[in-house]
Amino acid sequence: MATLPAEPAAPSWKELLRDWAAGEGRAWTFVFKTLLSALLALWLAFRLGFDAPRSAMTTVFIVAQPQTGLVLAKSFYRIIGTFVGCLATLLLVGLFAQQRELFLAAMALWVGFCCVGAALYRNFRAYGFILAGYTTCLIGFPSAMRPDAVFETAVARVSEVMLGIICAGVVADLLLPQRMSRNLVATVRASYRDFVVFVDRAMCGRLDHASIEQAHDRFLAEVMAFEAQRDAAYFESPDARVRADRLRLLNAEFMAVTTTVHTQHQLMQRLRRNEHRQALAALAPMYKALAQELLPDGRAPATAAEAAPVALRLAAFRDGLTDRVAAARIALETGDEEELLAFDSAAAMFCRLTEELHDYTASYAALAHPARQARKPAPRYVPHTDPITAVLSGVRATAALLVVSAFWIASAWPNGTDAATLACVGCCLFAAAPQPVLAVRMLTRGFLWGLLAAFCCAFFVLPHLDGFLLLALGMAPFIMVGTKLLTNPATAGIGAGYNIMFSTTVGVENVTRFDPVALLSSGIASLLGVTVAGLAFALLVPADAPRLRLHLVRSLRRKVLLASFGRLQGLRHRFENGTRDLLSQLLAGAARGSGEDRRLLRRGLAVLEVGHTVIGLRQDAESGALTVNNRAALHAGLRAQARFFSKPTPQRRAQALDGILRVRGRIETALEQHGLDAPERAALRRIHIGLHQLRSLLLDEETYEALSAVERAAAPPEPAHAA
Amino acid sequence: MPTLLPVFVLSFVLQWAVDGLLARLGFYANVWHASLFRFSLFVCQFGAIGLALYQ
Repeated sequence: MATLPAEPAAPSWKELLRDWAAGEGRAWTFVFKTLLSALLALWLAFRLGFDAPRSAMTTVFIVAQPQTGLVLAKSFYRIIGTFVGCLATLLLVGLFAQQRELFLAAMALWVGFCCVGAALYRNFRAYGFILAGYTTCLIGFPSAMRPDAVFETAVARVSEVMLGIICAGVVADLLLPQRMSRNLVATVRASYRDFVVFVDRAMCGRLDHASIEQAHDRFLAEVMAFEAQRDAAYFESPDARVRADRLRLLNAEFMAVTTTVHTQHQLMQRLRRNEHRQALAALAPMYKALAQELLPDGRAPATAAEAAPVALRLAAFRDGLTDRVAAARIALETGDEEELLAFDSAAAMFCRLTEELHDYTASYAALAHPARQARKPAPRYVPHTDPITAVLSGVRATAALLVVSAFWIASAWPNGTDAATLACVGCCLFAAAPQPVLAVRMLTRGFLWGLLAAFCCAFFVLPHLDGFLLLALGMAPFIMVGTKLLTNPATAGIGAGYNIMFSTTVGVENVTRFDPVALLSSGIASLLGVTVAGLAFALLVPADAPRLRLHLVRSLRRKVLLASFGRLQGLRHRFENGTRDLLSQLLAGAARGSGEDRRLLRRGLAVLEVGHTVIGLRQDAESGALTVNNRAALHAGLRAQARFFSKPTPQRRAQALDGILRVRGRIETALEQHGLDAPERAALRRIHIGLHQLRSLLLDEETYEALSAVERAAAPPEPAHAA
Repeated sequence: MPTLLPVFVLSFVLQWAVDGLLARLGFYANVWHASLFRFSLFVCQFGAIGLALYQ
């Protein structure tokens, strides 16, 4: 404390330049690229004689993203969404063109359906759903006024959207591209390196509880970021496209191995708490040996190519592990039976950890080769889908659109189209956002500024200018302001709103009209529409309402039910993936550092631990080593355990423990019988170990605390007793 | 203008297939500027189909 930090050397101008290029430089590159693609789209739209050149420009703003991969992924789903939306519009207009009430009701239902889809998928596919809903409004409302022109309107709109997409994509990909695939490579490398170092430290007991939780939090975020980057890089780089299967497998294995490390660490903690010194002493050399294999020369492999020898060494280590465990077990066989069982379960988990570490490393090493099949069929990424939240967001969108439409019809409002469209956009766009009300508020602020800018631009700047070049120059400063706002995450929402509002209302058309009133009323209508969407989010079962959140927190615990009753085929991955996805959704809405995030994380990890044990037991039960009665007893025990997880009460906990003890007794009797062949004996021992693990998890006060604590914190306050 | 839209969609689908094939064959490792090549390929396809159909 007493020593002052050394005076940092003055950075050279080269370093300063490099810093600028990495930070602000990138932001400005993005600004100029977006400007260029917007103006290019506008110019081409004028040249090709489109009805509404501005909608090509708006498309550019909607798909504008700093990374090429994001632009291309958004564009791809935007194209699909636009097509589906067009087809839906043709159908709706064909069915209900004469009946505006029916038409609007059907439209509201369709938009609600799209919102449900968006909330269910929550990645780029969600974007396709959003666009399908949004395009229907965009084409449907104008063409409902002129049903005979619906086909032309649809074709024109699709052409404009395509033009915008092409311009955005080409500029993003060809001029100073910022590649998503580069981020992806960096993420893959960093997660492997961090993870290996983490395993080394955690195994040697050199990490405290808080830093382990922090690490798991980071791994969780990495899994999600990886999935998003993989999805986007797929469109951007042929390399990522060829490796898509392998990358998916890598992510699945990363998830699996992080859970196993956690379980292993918990087992060790329990050994320490129960003072099983002999077991700990027998396990310690094995951990050291594994750490040595993982970190050759004390350094984690930095690239996939460097990981290849590590994978080979891990394979050799895995093959010799059975003998190693057997040799270590001899010292314990004379001692306490409980301790021997604890050792067995820790050793079994250690074998699994080694196996999974090997798989993960091998998958990582396989990425170095340009074209190669994945080692195994890669499982799909399975997000957690919550039907209740999804249906709610659908209902919200339908209601918002109905309210706006009713007002539109009742007041014969000439700008009802704008309001209805924007209400729909707001509801769809934020259907899956963690804090939709905040997001809508940002968008509304952006709209306000955009409207102001459009007004200034249209009536103070543009009237003095003539020709496309001057038009472009006149609009450029306004566009740059909005795009610069987009580059800062804190103001990105405002920037998006600003750009969209500016480009739709500034009114650059084939025939220029000078009509301030029209501009203002269409802008105000859009603002009203988006406000209605915001109100829908705030009033109709708010997405961040305590009750809804409590429901999600409960679903996290109930993921164990999926592990207990789901179809066994591919269950391990589905369970793991869904639980992690839900956990990350919950963490996105949790206040950081409030203690709530740590409680959620602890609960998620406990659920993962229990679920994997249960799945292991179920798989062994299927293997045929059990008699019919024993199998029935095992399933009864698992059901009792599942009942506990659907509602954790002390009574159900006792029942679950009781059930597990009963099965364990039966398995022990079965193990004592003579005439079992080796595989049967091995399966029985695995089940025995699994039951032991499950029992110690249920007995673990920390786990129990983790499972019930969040509800207490998140539950709405108990109503006071009425006198 | 509507006449070009189907051609565009067609060449888009074709591009998707051809691009996947080239990537699988490891062709892009030998190309100096992969994204420029991909874009040019698309332009060629779009132009060729458009000319063949509408000339």
